[in-house]
Amino acid sequence: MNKRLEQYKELLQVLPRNNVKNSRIYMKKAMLMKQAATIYKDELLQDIKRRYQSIVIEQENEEIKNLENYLEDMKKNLYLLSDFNDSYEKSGLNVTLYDLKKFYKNDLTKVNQDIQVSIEKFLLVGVKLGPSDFNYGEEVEEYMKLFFQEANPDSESLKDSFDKLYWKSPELIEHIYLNLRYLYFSYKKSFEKYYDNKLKDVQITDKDKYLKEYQNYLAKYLLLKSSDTKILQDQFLDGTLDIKEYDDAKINKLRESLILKETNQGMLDENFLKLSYTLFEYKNYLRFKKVIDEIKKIHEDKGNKSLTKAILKKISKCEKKIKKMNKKIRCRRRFRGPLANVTKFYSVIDANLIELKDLYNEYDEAKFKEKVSTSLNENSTLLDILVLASSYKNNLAKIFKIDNEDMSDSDILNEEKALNEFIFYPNNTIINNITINDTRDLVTIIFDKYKLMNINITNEQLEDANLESVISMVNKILVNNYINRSNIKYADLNSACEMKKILDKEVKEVKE
Amino acid sequence: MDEMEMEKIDEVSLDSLSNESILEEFKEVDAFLKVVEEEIKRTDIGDSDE
Repeated sequence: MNKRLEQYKELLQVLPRNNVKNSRIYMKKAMLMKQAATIYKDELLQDIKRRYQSIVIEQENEEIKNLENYLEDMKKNLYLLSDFNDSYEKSGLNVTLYDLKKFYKNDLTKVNQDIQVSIEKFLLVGVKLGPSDFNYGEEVEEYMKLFFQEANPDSESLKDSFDKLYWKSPELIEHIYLNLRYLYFSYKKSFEKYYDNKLKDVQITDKDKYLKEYQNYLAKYLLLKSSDTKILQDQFLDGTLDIKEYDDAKINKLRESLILKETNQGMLDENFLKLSYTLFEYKNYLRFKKVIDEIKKIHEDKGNKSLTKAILKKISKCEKKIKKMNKKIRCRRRFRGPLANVTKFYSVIDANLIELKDLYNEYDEAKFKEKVSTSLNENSTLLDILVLASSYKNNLAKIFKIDNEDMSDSDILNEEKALNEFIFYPNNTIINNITINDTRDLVTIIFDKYKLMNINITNEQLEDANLESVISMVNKILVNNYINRSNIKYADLNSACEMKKILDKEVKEVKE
Repeated sequence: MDEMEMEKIDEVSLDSLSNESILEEFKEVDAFLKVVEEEIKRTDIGDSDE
């Protein structure tokens, strides 16, 4: 300890304050000590700042940024690769229209935005919709006429119009939804042509090659990112990782608990890396096991092979009736003027719309089941199952909700994102090799494999509740390896973390 | 101890200290400042008798 500070402390304890005079002397000396200590503290702070700047790496790894941008570009086309879905799903119309159907969950602005987005999806494939395309009922006609006039989903007149029309026809939005579904079928060829051409436009001639290339870059990116000194340093500095957990002594204990016998260090490091990949894969396998199981069930049901044909026939019948009624309405208005009585025709339209609503619900369910039954076979892998599931977002959402009926939309979105990340994860080795009818126990497969690699993973560690803990252990070992291999010493990193806390605190205090 | 003595606390060059020692030193001076401020506060509102 600094001797002068020691003396000061002693002085503070021994100087008398038994009367006003002594108190004044005490006060004077204490103020001087405070002044001197403050000067010293500032000097130390400056020195800490200088040392901190000399330890920390400021320069980001350009290669990571470049790879990130490259992957971002490639990612935009991944939706074109699935052979399991068609242009309805590829266009994203399935999701937008699903949201529109569930209009009661959203506000009117969002509903109008969904209508706008749907119209734009048609425009993208070369179909310019106008007011005359919307004729699923009198209210739909009126509302959509104004919608095109206003060209603003947040328009006040649109809101007023909705308020007025809603009381006349509470099914207004549902009818717009059904109208848009009809329009998709009417222009399905334009959609298909667009997405077929899109593949050529983005120069994807071989889907498998594109996917492989994407995954190779992704593997490189993930490894670079997880081992990058600057990124790890920042995670320690911002407290995401606790530096105290990564010193050699602690890590050696973790390592010893996981290895069967001492062996070549380089080989072990490589095996720990592979284990981290396996654990990520297994964790996600457990997360999406429900999806796999549900799809397996659908696949086992042999009655799912031809479900849509009959429903489509009924849909077509209803839509034809609506078309016929609209023709009659137009005819009558042409001859008898705009005020002609066309109520009975609209009643027929409304009756058919009620039927159509159920039919489209049935159709969406049937299309998914049929796709599962016809696209998957005994050679399909668990990965194929998950790719198919991720291609049908609305059906996937329903599976997520089986065990959690109240699952929020944002939670569903998170699950969908995680599933997408999982199916494109470049280091999967289990789910792309296990076939749909394979009943082998994954825990045993992992256990046996890593035993051969001199790593001791127990069945208990692979249980759902313990998995995070073993993942964390392995990650710590890997991070410790990366630090030891880097040009920054653990001791310096440890000091830098302390220094950052001090510097941040000082900045905060100055601000206050 | 006169005022001159109070001017500087560092007896050795900071450069010669390790990162750990600098951090230790900072903690010490920071802790001391808290103590001295507390004592000043106590003295200022003091209960001394004439």
